[in-house]
Amino acid sequence: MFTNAFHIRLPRRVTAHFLLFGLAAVVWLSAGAFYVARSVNYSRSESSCLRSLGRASARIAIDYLQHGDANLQALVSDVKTQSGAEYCAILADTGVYLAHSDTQLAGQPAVEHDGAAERWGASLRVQYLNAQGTLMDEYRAPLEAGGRPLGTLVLGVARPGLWGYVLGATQHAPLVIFGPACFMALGAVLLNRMVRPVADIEQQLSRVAMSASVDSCELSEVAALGAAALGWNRVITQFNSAGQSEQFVQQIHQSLAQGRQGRLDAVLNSIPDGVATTNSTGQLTYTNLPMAAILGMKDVVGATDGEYHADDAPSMTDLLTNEWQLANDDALFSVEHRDRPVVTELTGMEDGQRRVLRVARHPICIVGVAHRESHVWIIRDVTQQKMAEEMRDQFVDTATHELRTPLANIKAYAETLALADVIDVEQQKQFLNTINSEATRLARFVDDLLSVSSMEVGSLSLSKQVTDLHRMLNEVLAKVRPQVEEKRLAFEVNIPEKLPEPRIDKDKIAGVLVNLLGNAVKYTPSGGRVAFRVNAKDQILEMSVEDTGVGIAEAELERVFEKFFRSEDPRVQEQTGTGLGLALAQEVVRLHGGRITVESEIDKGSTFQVVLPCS
Amino acid sequence: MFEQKRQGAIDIIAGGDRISGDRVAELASMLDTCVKHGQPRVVLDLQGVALIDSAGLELLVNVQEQYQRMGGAIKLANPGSLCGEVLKVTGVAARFEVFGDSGSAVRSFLL
Repeated sequence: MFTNAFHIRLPRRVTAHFLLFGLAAVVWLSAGAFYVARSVNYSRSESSCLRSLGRASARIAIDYLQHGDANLQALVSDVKTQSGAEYCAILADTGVYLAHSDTQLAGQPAVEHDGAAERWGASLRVQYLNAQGTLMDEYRAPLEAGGRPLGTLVLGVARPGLWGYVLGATQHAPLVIFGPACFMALGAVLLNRMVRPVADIEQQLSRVAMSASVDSCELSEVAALGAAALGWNRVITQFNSAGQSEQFVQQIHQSLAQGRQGRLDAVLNSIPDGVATTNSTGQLTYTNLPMAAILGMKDVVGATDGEYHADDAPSMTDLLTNEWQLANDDALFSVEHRDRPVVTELTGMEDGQRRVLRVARHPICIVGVAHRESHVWIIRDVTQQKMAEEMRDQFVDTATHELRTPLANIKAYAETLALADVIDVEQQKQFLNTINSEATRLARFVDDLLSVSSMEVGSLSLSKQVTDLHRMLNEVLAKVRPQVEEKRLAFEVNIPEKLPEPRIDKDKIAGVLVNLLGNAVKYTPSGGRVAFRVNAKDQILEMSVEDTGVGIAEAELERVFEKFFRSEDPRVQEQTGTGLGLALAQEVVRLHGGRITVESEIDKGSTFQVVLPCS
Repeated sequence: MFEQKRQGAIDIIAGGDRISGDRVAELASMLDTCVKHGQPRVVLDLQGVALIDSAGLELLVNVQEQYQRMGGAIKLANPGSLCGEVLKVTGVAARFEVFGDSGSAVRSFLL
């Protein structure tokens, strides 16, 4: 009952129980009162009957002495009326009624009733059930007049039944029932008011009992009625202040976490390396800004309101496979390498330029987690480093070749001269010329290296002087003409008669032109054409070298002025060269405030143009 | 007029005589071409650049920030005395690596 009544609020429950037990008490009290009243009434009725019987006996005896039996009938009727009895009679010793309130029974023999008899002195009471089923008390007392017995006075009284007593008690009901009921109602109201704070407390505790945690329930203070309510309010105040403190601490922790996250983002976005994390399926869960740029993504992954959400972020391997040459058997795809670091290099082409990425993938180690499902990726663009490495390797190859070949020739001819017994003078001269030529080649190479070194450190200096261009150009042409003739090339020279006399470093500019013309001759097949044109206009000196040689591929065109760069064209590779001439030429022209440009088409030829200011 | 060439993976922009309001669009367009894919690495050779005005400084700072967000960088080389002074006085020089020649600037990307 109590369990099922939990959904009813406490004041109603308390009031209901109060009323229930109060009503039971009232009913029990009423029953007791009824029983007591019944006993008292019965006792009072008995005494009244015996008293009426005594007074009637005396009155009848007096009247009989005065008037004889003339008034007996009237007397019994009068006694019946006064005593409220059912009947009244005078029974003669012969068993015949001398008088009876029921006049028809006067003179009739009396009927003896069977029932319990009770005697008080000379008086007797017999209890019996009459023909109607009513319980009757018949009181009998002997009648005497002047010492002579007259008979027996009989008084029949009907004993009231249960309903009789009830009806008799009904007239006192307002006092007996409604009085206590009113007190109970008043008590219920007071009780309800008294337990209301407790009810509020009970209601809040019920919510706590049905909730997952105390924090999710809103606890409030109750009306300060009584010590319990005051105590509860104090507990709530302390709880709320503790909650506020905890909330404050949580806010601090949250702020610190956000601060750490923001700082971590700022740190990761400030480094040039791309950093990303992936989940167990390889899907990106975070990228910093450089990583988004490297992967060509629209936005970073992991931003609150970014382009990519957690569920639609692309896969890292998909991105790498789409943009870069990534073999299917690469360690990045291998399950065996899942739990260990993987470092690989990816190569791709971008606008005709080769790019190289160094990709490192490391499993993310979490304390207590054996299986490493997520990874952190670090990608660095190492294109420049790779090209520098390749250039260094190429330089080593070139230097080795350029140093070893003339040295071998020098050594061979020198040994021949030293060991041979008989060598004619002409042959000795030829050998010595070869040794001289190779030594000159070595010296030129060393000079180029030194110039490049000077260029690298920025110490390549110019010795400018007013220069007779005609003289300088003739010297240049004289140097290359033998080679032109050797290859039987058509050599077209166009130099205006009137040229300015600029302040330039004559030797270095001459070196530039010799290099350009030498290259034109070297890479133009026999029968081809080489043209050298000079034009001076508006204090600008333009010199161009045009050939019908092998030409330069478009992809290599931008690199021809790089140090140690040599074309991959086999027709170029078969010629000796250091890859330093054009780099030096460009630097020399640049130091003069001019510029050098190239236009070329593969298999059709090239045109190099040098533009120098004359002022 | 600015010229752009490529040395290895590095873009070198040179040739302008000033970086001022009327040249900013040209230089900005050239710098934008360096941001195709991946990380831009640019050397701006200031040899011959006689003047940088506020529009030019703003462009340089904005481009530097843009490049740095992508993990790239723009480095300055060969600033003349006036340009160097302007960069220094305005505090812009503090945001850039400045080299005496473009070769050093290019090589610095290897580090």
